[in-house]
Amino acid sequence: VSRLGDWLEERVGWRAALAHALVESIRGGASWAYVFGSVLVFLLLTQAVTGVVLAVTYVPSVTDAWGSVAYLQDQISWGWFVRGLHAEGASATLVVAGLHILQVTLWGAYRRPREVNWWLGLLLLLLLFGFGLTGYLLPWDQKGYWATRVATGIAGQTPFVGDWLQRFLQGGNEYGQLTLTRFFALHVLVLPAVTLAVAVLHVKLFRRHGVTPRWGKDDAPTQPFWPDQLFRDVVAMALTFAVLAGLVWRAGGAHLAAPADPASNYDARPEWYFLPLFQLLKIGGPLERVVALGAPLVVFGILAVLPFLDRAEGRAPRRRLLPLGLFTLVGAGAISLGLMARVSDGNDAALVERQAAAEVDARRARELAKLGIPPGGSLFVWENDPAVRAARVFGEECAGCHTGKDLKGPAIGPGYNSRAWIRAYLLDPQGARFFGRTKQNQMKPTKLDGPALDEIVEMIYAETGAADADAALTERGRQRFDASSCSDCHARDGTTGDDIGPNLGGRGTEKWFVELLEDPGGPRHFGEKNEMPSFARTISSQDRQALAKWLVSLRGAD
Amino acid sequence: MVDEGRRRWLKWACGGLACGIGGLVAAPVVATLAWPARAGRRVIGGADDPIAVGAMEDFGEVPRRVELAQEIRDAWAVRPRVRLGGAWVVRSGDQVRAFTTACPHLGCPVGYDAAERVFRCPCHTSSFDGQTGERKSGPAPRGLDPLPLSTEGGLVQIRFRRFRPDIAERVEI
Repeated sequence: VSRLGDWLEERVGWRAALAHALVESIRGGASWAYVFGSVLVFLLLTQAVTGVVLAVTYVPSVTDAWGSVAYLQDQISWGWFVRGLHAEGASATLVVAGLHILQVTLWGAYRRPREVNWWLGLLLLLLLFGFGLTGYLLPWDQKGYWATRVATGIAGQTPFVGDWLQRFLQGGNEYGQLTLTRFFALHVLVLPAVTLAVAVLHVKLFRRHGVTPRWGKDDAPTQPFWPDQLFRDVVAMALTFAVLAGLVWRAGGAHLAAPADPASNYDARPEWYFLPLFQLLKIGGPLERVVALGAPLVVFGILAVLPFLDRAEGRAPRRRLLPLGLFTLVGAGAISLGLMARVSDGNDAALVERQAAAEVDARRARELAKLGIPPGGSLFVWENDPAVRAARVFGEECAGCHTGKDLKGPAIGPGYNSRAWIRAYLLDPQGARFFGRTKQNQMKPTKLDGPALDEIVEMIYAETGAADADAALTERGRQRFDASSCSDCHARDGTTGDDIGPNLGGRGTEKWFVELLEDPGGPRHFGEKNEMPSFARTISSQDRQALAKWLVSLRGAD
Repeated sequence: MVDEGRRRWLKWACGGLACGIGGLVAAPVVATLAWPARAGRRVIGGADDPIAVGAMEDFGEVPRRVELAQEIRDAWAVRPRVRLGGAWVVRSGDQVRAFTTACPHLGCPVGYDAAERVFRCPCHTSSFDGQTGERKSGPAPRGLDPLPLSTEGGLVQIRFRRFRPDIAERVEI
């Protein structure tokens, strides 16, 4: 092995390169306080790797984006976990970036001659926010769609160029396909390239100046980066990943809301790191524009000039009250605004309820997506719901004859085949809302009433398969049916045909509806007097099944 | 000395050529990127047909939310039944009003608070009169934006519109 190493060394000089990367003396000694930069490098690499894995499945199209994310989330092994790592990893990156900035500030490490590296760090922070903002939209779900609309709306408030800027960002006059492709290109091409370049400069400049020892430790002995500091760094990376993976595991992966629906009502909320800005937007009035656009500028302005405000002799915190005070003010301001947003949401019972309903929608949409996204796109996933589908098929194929004023058959709607419907029918079979306008109009109104009618109603109701039918009442109804003139025209065994009226066995069950849809003129149904067309060809078998189920469900809707 | 002058010329020429090349690459790139942003360009557009949302009797003094869908062209794709947005429809007597659900502040969809009889924005807490849509409180700079509608033959038909958010005037986009 060592000979192979020598062979390679002669040709590429890898030992020198490795030594260059590892050999660095840490002034004042290695410290746990210095791990954050390395952890950030680790997290960014993890984001890159998981991001590539997401891109293997993801499609940046308004019709397919949500479906592709749902597929990754719910069908591909470990897809939920990789997506969870990427989404929660973004939060982790910002948390660690915050700790990194806190450490640098406390240590006064931004002071001369490290000002430029401090600015590069702030630029990296902005880039991280850019990643968060652009990535939030990509699943094209309700959450990302509505929150990002607010964000681009704010960009539209920029003086002079706002309108143009908003159209530029959203790729047109409205949210649509080009918005998604733009955010996708920013998120996976532009931002990574720029971030990589700035991060390399940041690390190079750091190496040029070395660490800033803690105040009062300038004379402590120097330790080597490898292995003293790197060991601490790797432990911190492992801990970070353990916490991250644990959180992702516990949460079951990243959240995915229902597909973006511009016609819906949704309570837009940004990710936690944008909540302070969100809270500022509640101010309103002429001040809002100034504050919402100005506050981030002021914050980054203050941070950028910290090195110039911090010129005290020595780096002990008690001599640097002005810069540290300003930093604390900015941090505390952001945290309290974020908390205010959280608290006011938590206290809004109606909001909490709407969010719970949105959560139910999200789960339902993901469930329906497992049946496949229809050609119209993710939002058509709701039509996978058999009930929605059936209602649409009914509207297209059946409603013309069975609803409205120009009935050609019995009216069908909520309450169809309920006890009340059966009773009304028996009392007035030739009424316009029943069979009065069909050739099936020979049946006379029943003369039964009181308990006798109740028995017959219950018996017909029981045939629909209703679970709440009264067994004793049904049995008495059957005896009365067989003994009365009912049985002169109707069988009730569900198999024989050629009677004067339809066979009532199993009438109103799913199976019965399917058969009726396929062969309404069959001997057990309307026979020779049938006027209803067969739907065996015009409605697919899957839809016939769904329609039958939906027709049964009408019974319970009274 | 001759070399000195020659080299200065070479340096300037290098810089000039580099700028030229950069410009040549940048011009089409910028033009392509800025294409969708030109004022008045409609990357997304629909037929702007009136959309039937129901009969007069379907609406009353309690606002009802309807969803507006239409065929639209989105960049290269023509897509049927695209859900454009929602509207609140409220009727008193013969007068029917429709408001887009997009809050005139920053576009969050407003809901209706039946107890207080106001429209409320769930994002930044603006509220609007439940009948007229006038602004009552919060950061919104104007009332809810009305949508043009017709009630010919007792059928309520709405045209979908979008308005520029967060300014006092009502400017259609």
